[in-house]
Amino acid sequence: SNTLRPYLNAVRSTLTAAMCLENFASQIVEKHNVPEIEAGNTKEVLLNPLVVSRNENEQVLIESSINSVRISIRIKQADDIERILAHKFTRFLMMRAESFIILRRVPIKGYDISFLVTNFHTEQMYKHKLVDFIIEFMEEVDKEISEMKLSINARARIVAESYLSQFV
Amino acid sequence: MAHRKLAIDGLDAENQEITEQMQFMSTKSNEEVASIVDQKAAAVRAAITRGNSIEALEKALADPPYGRGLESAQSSNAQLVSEILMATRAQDIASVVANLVDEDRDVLLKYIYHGLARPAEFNCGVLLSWHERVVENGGLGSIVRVMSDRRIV
Repeated sequence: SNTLRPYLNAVRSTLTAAMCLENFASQIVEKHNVPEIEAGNTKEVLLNPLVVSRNENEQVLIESSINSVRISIRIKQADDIERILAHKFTRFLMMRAESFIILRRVPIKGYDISFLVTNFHTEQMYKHKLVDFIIEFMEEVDKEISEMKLSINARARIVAESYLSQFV
Repeated sequence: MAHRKLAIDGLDAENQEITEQMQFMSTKSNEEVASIVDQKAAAVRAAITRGNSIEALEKALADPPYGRGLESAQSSNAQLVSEILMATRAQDIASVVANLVDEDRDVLLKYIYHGLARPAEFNCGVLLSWHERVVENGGLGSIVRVMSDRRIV
Protein backbone atom coordinates (compact mmCIF):
# COMPACT_ATOMS: atom_id res chain seq x y z
CA SER A 1 0.00 0.00 0.00
CA ASN A 2 1.16 3.59 0.30
CA THR A 3 3.28 2.97 3.39
CA LEU A 4 5.68 0.69 1.51
CA ARG A 5 7.83 3.45 -0.04
CA PRO A 6 8.21 5.48 3.20
CA TYR A 7 8.88 2.24 5.11
CA LEU A 8 11.68 1.15 2.76
CA ASN A 9 13.13 4.67 2.69
CA ALA A 10 13.16 4.80 6.48
CA VAL A 11 14.88 1.40 6.64
CA ARG A 12 17.38 2.52 4.01
CA SER A 13 18.34 5.73 5.83
CA THR A 14 18.50 4.03 9.24
CA LEU A 15 20.65 1.23 7.81
CA THR A 16 23.03 3.63 6.08
CA ALA A 17 23.45 5.51 9.35
CA ALA A 18 23.94 2.29 11.36
CA MET A 19 26.51 0.80 8.99
CA CYS A 20 29.37 3.11 10.02
CA LEU A 21 31.73 0.41 11.24
CA GLU A 22 35.39 0.34 12.13
CA ASN A 23 37.77 -2.29 13.36
CA PHE A 24 37.68 -2.83 17.12
CA ALA A 25 39.80 -5.45 18.86
CA SER A 26 38.21 -7.24 21.79
CA GLN A 27 38.91 -5.50 25.08
CA ILE A 28 38.40 -8.71 27.01
CA VAL A 29 40.63 -11.23 25.29
CA GLU A 30 43.99 -10.30 23.82
CA LYS A 31 44.39 -10.57 20.05
CA HIS A 32 40.73 -11.50 19.57
CA ASN A 33 38.46 -9.61 17.21
CA VAL A 34 34.80 -10.31 17.78
CA PRO A 35 31.57 -8.70 16.47
CA GLU A 36 30.64 -6.66 19.53
CA ILE A 37 26.90 -6.81 18.91
CA GLU A 38 27.07 -10.61 19.18
CA ALA A 39 29.36 -10.74 22.20
CA GLY A 40 27.66 -7.90 24.06
CA ASN A 41 30.28 -7.78 26.83
CA THR A 42 31.57 -4.22 26.39
CA LYS A 43 28.54 -2.06 27.03
CA GLU A 44 30.14 1.20 25.93
CA VAL A 45 30.50 0.19 22.26
CA LEU A 46 26.85 -0.82 21.82
CA LEU A 47 24.46 1.68 20.29
CA ASN A 48 20.72 1.93 20.95
CA PRO A 49 18.73 -0.57 18.89
CA LEU A 50 16.23 0.99 16.51
CA VAL A 51 13.02 -0.52 15.18
CA VAL A 52 11.37 0.57 11.94
CA SER A 53 7.92 -0.88 11.47
CA ARG A 54 5.26 -0.59 8.81
CA ASN A 55 2.57 -2.22 10.94
CA GLU A 56 2.48 -4.88 13.64
CA ASN A 57 3.40 -7.70 11.25
CA GLU A 58 6.28 -6.07 9.37
CA GLN A 59 9.24 -4.82 11.34
CA VAL A 60 12.97 -4.38 11.01
CA LEU A 61 15.20 -4.35 14.11
CA ILE A 62 18.58 -2.70 13.59
CA GLU A 63 21.09 -3.22 16.40
CA SER A 64 24.42 -1.54 15.86
CA SER A 65 27.78 -1.45 17.59
CA ILE A 66 31.22 -0.10 16.79
CA ASN A 67 32.21 -2.96 14.50
CA SER A 68 29.03 -4.83 13.62
CA VAL A 69 25.35 -4.40 12.77
CA ARG A 70 22.61 -6.96 13.24
CA ILE A 71 19.55 -6.53 11.03
CA SER A 72 16.50 -8.68 11.84
CA ILE A 73 13.46 -8.74 9.60
CA ARG A 74 9.94 -9.89 10.43
CA ILE A 75 8.23 -10.96 7.21
CA LYS A 76 4.51 -10.37 6.70
CA GLN A 77 2.68 -13.70 7.19
CA ALA A 78 -1.07 -13.38 6.88
CA ASP A 79 -2.21 -17.00 7.22
CA ASP A 80 -0.97 -20.51 7.96
CA ILE A 81 0.22 -21.28 4.43
CA GLU A 82 2.29 -18.07 4.31
CA ARG A 83 3.69 -18.88 7.75
CA ILE A 84 4.85 -22.32 6.57
CA LEU A 85 6.23 -20.91 3.32
CA ALA A 86 8.11 -18.11 5.09
CA HIS A 87 9.55 -20.58 7.59
CA LYS A 88 10.71 -23.00 4.90
CA PHE A 89 12.10 -20.24 2.69
CA THR A 90 14.10 -18.61 5.48
CA ARG A 91 15.31 -22.00 6.68
CA PHE A 92 16.53 -22.78 3.14
CA LEU A 93 18.50 -19.53 3.09
CA MET A 94 19.86 -19.83 6.62
CA MET A 95 21.19 -23.34 6.07
CA ARG A 96 23.31 -21.89 3.25
CA ALA A 97 24.40 -18.89 5.30
CA GLU A 98 28.08 -19.34 4.50
CA SER A 99 27.66 -18.60 0.82
CA PHE A 100 25.52 -15.60 1.75
CA ILE A 101 28.37 -14.16 3.85
CA ILE A 102 26.27 -11.64 5.75
CA LEU A 103 23.44 -13.97 6.78
CA ARG A 104 23.11 -15.17 10.36
CA ARG A 105 22.40 -18.89 10.85
CA VAL A 106 19.77 -18.31 13.51
CA PRO A 107 17.26 -15.44 13.52
CA ILE A 108 16.80 -13.25 16.58
CA LYS A 109 13.81 -14.23 18.73
CA GLY A 110 10.63 -12.63 17.41
CA TYR A 111 11.99 -12.20 13.88
CA ASP A 112 12.18 -14.43 10.81
CA ILE A 113 15.65 -13.79 9.43
CA SER A 114 18.76 -11.96 10.64
CA PHE A 115 21.82 -10.50 8.94
CA LEU A 116 25.15 -9.77 10.60
CA VAL A 117 27.38 -7.22 8.86
CA THR A 118 30.84 -6.64 10.33
CA ASN A 119 33.52 -4.06 9.56
CA PHE A 120 35.39 -6.67 7.50
CA HIS A 121 32.36 -6.99 5.23
CA THR A 122 32.09 -3.24 4.78
CA GLU A 123 35.79 -3.12 3.99
CA GLN A 124 35.44 -5.70 1.25
CA MET A 125 32.03 -4.75 -0.10
CA TYR A 126 30.39 -1.42 -0.95
CA LYS A 127 28.23 -0.16 1.92
CA HIS A 128 25.56 1.30 -0.36
CA LYS A 129 25.37 -2.02 -2.20
CA LEU A 130 24.91 -3.90 1.07
CA VAL A 131 22.05 -1.58 2.00
CA ASP A 132 20.58 -2.00 -1.52
CA PHE A 133 20.77 -5.75 -1.09
CA ILE A 134 18.89 -5.73 2.21
CA ILE A 135 16.14 -3.46 0.84
CA GLU A 136 15.84 -5.58 -2.31
CA PHE A 137 15.68 -8.69 -0.15
CA MET A 138 12.80 -7.24 1.83
CA GLU A 139 10.90 -6.44 -1.37
CA GLU A 140 11.66 -9.76 -3.07
CA VAL A 141 10.81 -12.00 -0.15
CA ASP A 142 7.22 -10.77 -0.07
CA LYS A 143 6.91 -11.33 -3.84
CA GLU A 144 8.44 -14.80 -3.62
CA ILE A 145 6.10 -15.90 -0.87
CA SER A 146 2.98 -14.71 -2.69
CA GLU A 147 4.24 -16.39 -5.89
CA MET A 148 4.79 -19.67 -4.02
CA LYS A 149 1.36 -19.41 -2.44
CA LEU A 150 -0.29 -18.89 -5.85
CA SER A 151 1.53 -21.87 -7.34
CA ILE A 152 0.58 -24.05 -4.35
CA ASN A 153 -3.07 -23.14 -4.78
CA ALA A 154 -2.90 -23.73 -8.53
CA ARG A 155 -1.28 -27.15 -8.09
CA ALA A 156 -3.75 -28.12 -5.37
CA ARG A 157 -6.64 -27.17 -7.67
CA ILE A 158 -5.26 -29.25 -10.56
CA VAL A 159 -4.64 -32.26 -8.31
CA ALA A 160 -8.07 -32.03 -6.69
CA GLU A 161 -9.78 -31.71 -10.10
CA SER A 162 -8.02 -34.69 -11.63
CA TYR A 163 -8.56 -36.83 -8.53
CA LEU A 164 -12.19 -35.99 -7.95
CA SER A 165 -13.11 -36.17 -11.65
CA GLN A 166 -12.98 -39.95 -11.43
CA PHE A 167 -15.91 -39.90 -9.00
CA VAL A 168 -18.12 -37.74 -11.20
CA MET B 1 34.07 -23.54 27.61
CA ALA B 2 30.62 -24.61 26.45
CA HIS B 3 30.01 -26.57 29.64
CA ARG B 4 30.01 -23.46 31.82
CA LYS B 5 26.42 -22.68 32.84
CA LEU B 6 27.01 -19.38 34.66
CA ALA B 7 27.66 -16.21 32.63
CA ILE B 8 30.22 -14.95 35.12
CA ASP B 9 30.70 -11.55 33.45
CA GLY B 10 27.07 -10.73 34.02
CA LEU B 11 27.45 -11.31 37.76
CA ASP B 12 30.62 -9.25 38.04
CA ALA B 13 29.90 -6.23 40.25
CA GLU B 14 32.27 -3.92 38.32
CA ASN B 15 30.35 -4.38 35.08
CA GLN B 16 27.11 -3.40 36.80
CA GLU B 17 28.83 -0.21 38.00
CA ILE B 18 29.84 0.75 34.48
CA THR B 19 26.31 0.17 33.17
CA GLU B 20 24.93 2.23 36.07
CA GLN B 21 27.32 5.09 35.33
CA MET B 22 26.28 5.17 31.70
CA GLN B 23 22.64 5.83 32.64
CA PHE B 24 21.42 9.39 32.51
CA MET B 25 21.31 11.02 35.96
CA SER B 26 18.68 13.70 36.25
CA THR B 27 18.93 16.66 38.62
CA LYS B 28 15.18 16.43 39.18
CA SER B 29 13.38 13.69 41.07
CA ASN B 30 11.06 11.27 39.28
CA GLU B 31 7.91 12.94 40.64
CA GLU B 32 9.07 16.38 39.49
CA VAL B 33 9.70 15.09 35.97
CA ALA B 34 6.28 13.38 35.87
CA SER B 35 4.53 16.56 37.01
CA ILE B 36 6.36 18.63 34.36
CA VAL B 37 4.99 16.29 31.69
CA ASP B 38 1.44 16.57 33.07
CA GLN B 39 1.60 20.38 33.19
CA LYS B 40 2.79 20.49 29.58
CA ALA B 41 -0.16 18.40 28.41
CA ALA B 42 -2.84 21.07 28.84
CA ALA B 43 -0.82 23.81 27.09
CA VAL B 44 0.12 21.46 24.24
CA ARG B 45 -3.46 20.29 23.64
CA ALA B 46 -4.63 23.90 23.57
CA ALA B 47 -2.04 24.70 20.90
CA ILE B 48 -3.14 21.68 18.84
CA THR B 49 -6.78 22.77 18.82
CA ARG B 50 -5.67 26.25 17.71
CA GLY B 51 -3.88 24.55 14.81
CA ASN B 52 -0.44 25.83 15.84
CA SER B 53 1.67 22.68 15.41
CA ILE B 54 5.04 24.42 15.71
CA GLU B 55 4.26 25.90 19.11
CA ALA B 56 2.73 22.63 20.33
CA LEU B 57 5.77 20.67 19.18
CA GLU B 58 8.24 23.06 20.79
CA LYS B 59 6.40 22.82 24.11
CA ALA B 60 6.13 19.03 23.96
CA LEU B 61 9.77 18.49 22.97
CA ALA B 62 11.22 20.74 25.69
CA ASP B 63 12.52 18.93 28.81
CA PRO B 64 11.95 15.34 27.73
CA PRO B 65 11.59 12.90 30.66
CA TYR B 66 14.98 11.16 30.47
CA GLY B 67 15.98 8.66 33.14
CA ARG B 68 15.02 5.32 34.62
CA GLY B 69 11.79 4.44 36.38
CA LEU B 70 9.91 7.05 34.33
CA GLU B 71 8.04 4.75 31.97
CA SER B 72 4.63 6.30 32.56
CA ALA B 73 5.92 9.86 32.11
CA GLN B 74 7.81 8.81 28.98
CA SER B 75 4.82 7.06 27.44
CA SER B 76 2.45 9.97 28.23
CA ASN B 77 4.92 12.44 26.69
CA ALA B 78 5.22 10.15 23.65
CA GLN B 79 1.40 10.06 23.32
CA LEU B 80 1.40 13.87 23.47
CA VAL B 81 3.96 14.13 20.68
CA SER B 82 2.09 11.58 18.58
CA GLU B 83 -1.14 13.61 18.95
CA ILE B 84 0.65 16.63 17.51
CA LEU B 85 2.15 14.56 14.68
CA MET B 86 -1.24 13.18 13.68
CA ALA B 87 -2.95 16.57 13.91
CA THR B 88 -0.56 18.23 11.45
CA ARG B 89 -1.55 18.14 7.79
CA ALA B 90 0.72 16.34 5.34
CA GLN B 91 1.54 19.55 3.44
CA ASP B 92 2.64 21.32 6.60
CA ILE B 93 5.08 18.68 7.86
CA ALA B 94 8.07 20.05 5.91
CA SER B 95 7.60 23.61 7.15
CA VAL B 96 7.08 22.52 10.77
CA VAL B 97 10.29 20.47 10.67
CA ALA B 98 12.20 23.36 9.08
CA ASN B 99 11.17 25.64 11.96
CA LEU B 100 12.51 23.32 14.66
CA VAL B 101 15.79 23.93 16.46
CA ASP B 102 18.43 21.20 15.93
CA GLU B 103 18.07 19.86 19.48
CA ASP B 104 14.30 19.67 19.22
CA ARG B 105 14.56 17.95 15.85
CA ASP B 106 16.77 15.24 17.36
CA VAL B 107 14.34 14.74 20.25
CA LEU B 108 11.50 14.54 17.70
CA LEU B 109 13.40 11.79 15.85
CA LYS B 110 13.83 9.93 19.16
CA TYR B 111 10.05 10.08 19.64
CA ILE B 112 9.47 8.89 16.06
CA TYR B 113 11.62 5.81 16.69
CA HIS B 114 9.94 5.33 20.08
CA GLY B 115 6.60 5.21 18.27
CA LEU B 116 7.81 2.95 15.46
CA ALA B 117 8.95 0.43 18.06
CA ARG B 118 5.38 0.19 19.36
CA PRO B 119 3.22 -0.26 16.24
CA ALA B 120 0.24 -1.39 18.31
CA GLU B 121 -0.08 2.00 20.04
CA PHE B 122 1.13 4.45 17.41
CA ASN B 123 0.20 5.15 13.77
CA CYS B 124 3.19 3.94 11.75
CA GLY B 125 2.11 5.54 8.47
CA VAL B 126 2.14 9.04 9.97
CA LEU B 127 5.41 8.36 11.81
CA LEU B 128 7.08 7.13 8.62
CA SER B 129 6.11 10.25 6.66
CA TRP B 130 7.45 12.46 9.50
CA HIS B 131 10.63 10.33 9.59
CA GLU B 132 11.21 11.04 5.89
CA ARG B 133 10.93 14.81 6.40
CA VAL B 134 13.04 14.93 9.55
CA VAL B 135 15.86 12.93 7.95
CA GLU B 136 15.63 15.12 4.84
CA ASN B 137 16.18 18.13 7.10
CA GLY B 138 18.63 16.68 9.61
CA GLY B 139 20.55 14.21 7.48
CA LEU B 140 21.96 10.85 8.53
CA GLY B 141 23.71 12.58 11.44
CA SER B 142 20.43 12.99 13.27
CA ILE B 143 19.84 9.21 13.07
CA VAL B 144 23.36 8.57 14.37
CA ARG B 145 22.71 10.93 17.26
CA VAL B 146 19.53 9.03 18.17
CA MET B 147 21.49 5.74 18.14
CA SER B 148 24.43 6.97 20.18
CA ASP B 149 22.64 9.15 22.77
CA ARG B 150 22.25 7.21 26.02
CA ARG B 151 19.34 9.42 27.04
CA ILE B 152 16.45 7.38 25.72
CA VAL B 153 13.21 9.20 24.81
